[in-house]
Amino acid sequence: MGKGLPYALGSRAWMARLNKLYLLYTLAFVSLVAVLGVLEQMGMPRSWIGFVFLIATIGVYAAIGLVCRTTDATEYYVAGRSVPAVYNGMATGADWMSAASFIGMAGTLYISGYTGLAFVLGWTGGYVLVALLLAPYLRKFGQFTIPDFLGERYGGHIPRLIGVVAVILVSFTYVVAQIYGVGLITSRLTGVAFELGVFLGLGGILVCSFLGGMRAVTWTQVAQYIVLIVAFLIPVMWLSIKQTSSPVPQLSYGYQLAQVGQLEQTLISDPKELEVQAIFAQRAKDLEAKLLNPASALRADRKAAQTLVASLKAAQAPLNERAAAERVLATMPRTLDGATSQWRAQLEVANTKMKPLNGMTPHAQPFAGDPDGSEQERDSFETSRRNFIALVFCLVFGTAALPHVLVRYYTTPSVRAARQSVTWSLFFILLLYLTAPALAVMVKYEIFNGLVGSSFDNLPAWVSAWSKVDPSLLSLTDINKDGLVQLNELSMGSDIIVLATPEIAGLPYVASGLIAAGGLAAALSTADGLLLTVANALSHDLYYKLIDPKASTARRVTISKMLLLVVALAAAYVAAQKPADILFLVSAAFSLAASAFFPVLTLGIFWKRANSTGAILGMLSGLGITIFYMATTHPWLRQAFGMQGEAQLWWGIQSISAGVFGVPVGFAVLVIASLLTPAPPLAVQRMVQRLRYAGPDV
Amino acid sequence: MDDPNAHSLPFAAQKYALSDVAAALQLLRRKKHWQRLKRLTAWLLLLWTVVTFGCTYFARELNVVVLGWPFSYWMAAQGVLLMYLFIIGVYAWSVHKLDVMYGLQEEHSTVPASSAAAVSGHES
Repeated sequence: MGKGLPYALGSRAWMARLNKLYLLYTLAFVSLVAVLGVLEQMGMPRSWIGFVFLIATIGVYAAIGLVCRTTDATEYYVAGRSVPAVYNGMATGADWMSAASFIGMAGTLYISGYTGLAFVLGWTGGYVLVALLLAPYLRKFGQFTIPDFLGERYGGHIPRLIGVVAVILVSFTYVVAQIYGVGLITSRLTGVAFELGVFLGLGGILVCSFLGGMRAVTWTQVAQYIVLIVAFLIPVMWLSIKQTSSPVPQLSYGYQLAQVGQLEQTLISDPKELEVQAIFAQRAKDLEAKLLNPASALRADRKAAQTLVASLKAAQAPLNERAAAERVLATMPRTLDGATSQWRAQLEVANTKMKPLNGMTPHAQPFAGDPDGSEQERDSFETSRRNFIALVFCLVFGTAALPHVLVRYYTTPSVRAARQSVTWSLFFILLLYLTAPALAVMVKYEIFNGLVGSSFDNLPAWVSAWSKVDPSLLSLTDINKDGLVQLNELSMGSDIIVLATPEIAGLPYVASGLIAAGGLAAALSTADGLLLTVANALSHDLYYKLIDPKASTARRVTISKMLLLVVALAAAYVAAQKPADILFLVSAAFSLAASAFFPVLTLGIFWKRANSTGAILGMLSGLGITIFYMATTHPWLRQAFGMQGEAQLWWGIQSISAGVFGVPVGFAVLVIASLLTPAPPLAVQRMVQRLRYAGPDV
Repeated sequence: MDDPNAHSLPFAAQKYALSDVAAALQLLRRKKHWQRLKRLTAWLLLLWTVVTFGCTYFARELNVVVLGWPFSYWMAAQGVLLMYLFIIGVYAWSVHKLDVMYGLQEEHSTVPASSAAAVSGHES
């Protein structure tokens, strides 16, 4: 695949060679897994398996990067426009599916049931907009970046410049999250420190994109797609065979869903569950009382703990009881602020756990509340439905406007291939997105049916194993001291669902290594695409188009590579700080991308009258409203900006869906401002006309 | 058309260059092609809107059990996604057909002789 040129673009010989190479690669990967499985049976230590997976996969990605090294601009920026539709589909799939899709989504679906499907719908529905409104037209336009389109279509430097800023705003936060994920998985896979994991993963990303730009990234992403889909499907299919004796979980989990529904009904009225909920309700009440008067409550707490330690000592109580009491005293918060924030966190947990089903809505039930219930229930129903639809809206339009996905459609040999390629992209994405909801239901069945009600002395192996590895992923406390597990006694982090699947399915450790390798592939491939997008926006749009238009091709590519290195190191530095609320930043990226790019790109193609003034004002106002709403409603951002008091929500919409205001405002401002100012020059209108058919320009 | 005397001649005698006629035809075809492409896009987007936002807005009402699945849940987890694949598959297929029908596709080798013969000289 190194030298694209001896083959005619999109020719059969080229396809045949790719097919052969990737088939061999897939077979080699599957055999590696099988060999490791055998070696494990023969007694190979677990940490070795992790290392082999890490070295083998990153080694292959780096080798592809080496083979594909290039200094040619078309090869570097758009892979020589020689990527067949199917392979571009796979590369887009890997580019698109991040660590969040691979590891986080099934967990979100487990916790939120139907509500979590907003992500599934939003992250796939956006491809319809990409296919119908953007991809073929951008391919016909045929340049290198998204700000390129803004610059050519609207003229002047300002639209391009705003585009560059928006690309960086959207993609940089996203790439930080990916590198964070890489560090997490590498350290889990091999046991090295998190920071070292970040820089190890960074090496894998850089060899690839640094040497070969888009060409290397494309062919690596295809390889990564194969790893991630194999790693996701095998354990889930195995679990499905175990639970339903069918290897196609997507078809068979309807029965499991019905079972989960029945178990939910039983659990809601189970007296033991009610007992645990009552204990948490009491705790919540106590904590609220403490928070009303924190200073005296802290004094009373400390005094009570001291008295307890003293009385146990006096009574010569058993050593472990005394140690426990002393620990309580020692870990008591020292300052008033520390105490209140600890109590607030505990209150939040108690408030969730005093509700039935551990605070989850029944899995198949759309939205919270009840449309026929009391006023409060009706209100809760309306708000929850409105937020669901707003979130789908933002994710859909954000997906269709993410620069690192859109540039992938510059790389196909033709407009027709670009259209087919979106279909392939969605196909490859659906393989995972149709499976994740099935996995969530099967794990829920396993927990409701296998874990809840079992004795604390005899927990399933995977539960005791994972609660030892990381209590934030899984922890169990016998709240009502009956020696049995109740659902509300269980606390889980969402990542556990995918990570523990191999053990739940009863697969050997090699499958856990496989899952980690898949998560790594998902994070690395997304990081590759994002880094390249940020670096190219800086080098191609900012340096070449705005600062030094006379720069030679070789110089442009060199500058690109330098910037790539700088951006990667900056992102790794930020990720190594373990920033709080990284997940919020990622979901914010969708609202930002949607309001910055969607109106300006689609109207640029479908409305010849859209002009430069409209584009500038449209982008600024869309972005402005979105950022304003996020800043004034998200608790963490409010704190960062030092705002006081309660957040004012518009129609109860959560801050994650701020784009629901930004996109319409962006459209409206673009249209009105364009109509109030002169039409764009004739040359631009002709260019727009040429975008609208695939054939050669006349 | 550049000839200033052209309009003074009787219609039948006007000497249009063959390439002018071809260019006019080309423009007409492009206009028609764009109209049909827009119509196709609009219909598919309407379908997309109905399945995406219609099915979710009425999800509570529609959540009856069909073939063992709660209908709204199944739609959001599978049905709507497969519908998306169907929409973009149909789009890719029909736009290519439209392109060929109006002689506006890229690959010349696949152009049926009948539809492109008249203008092939002009296009190259």
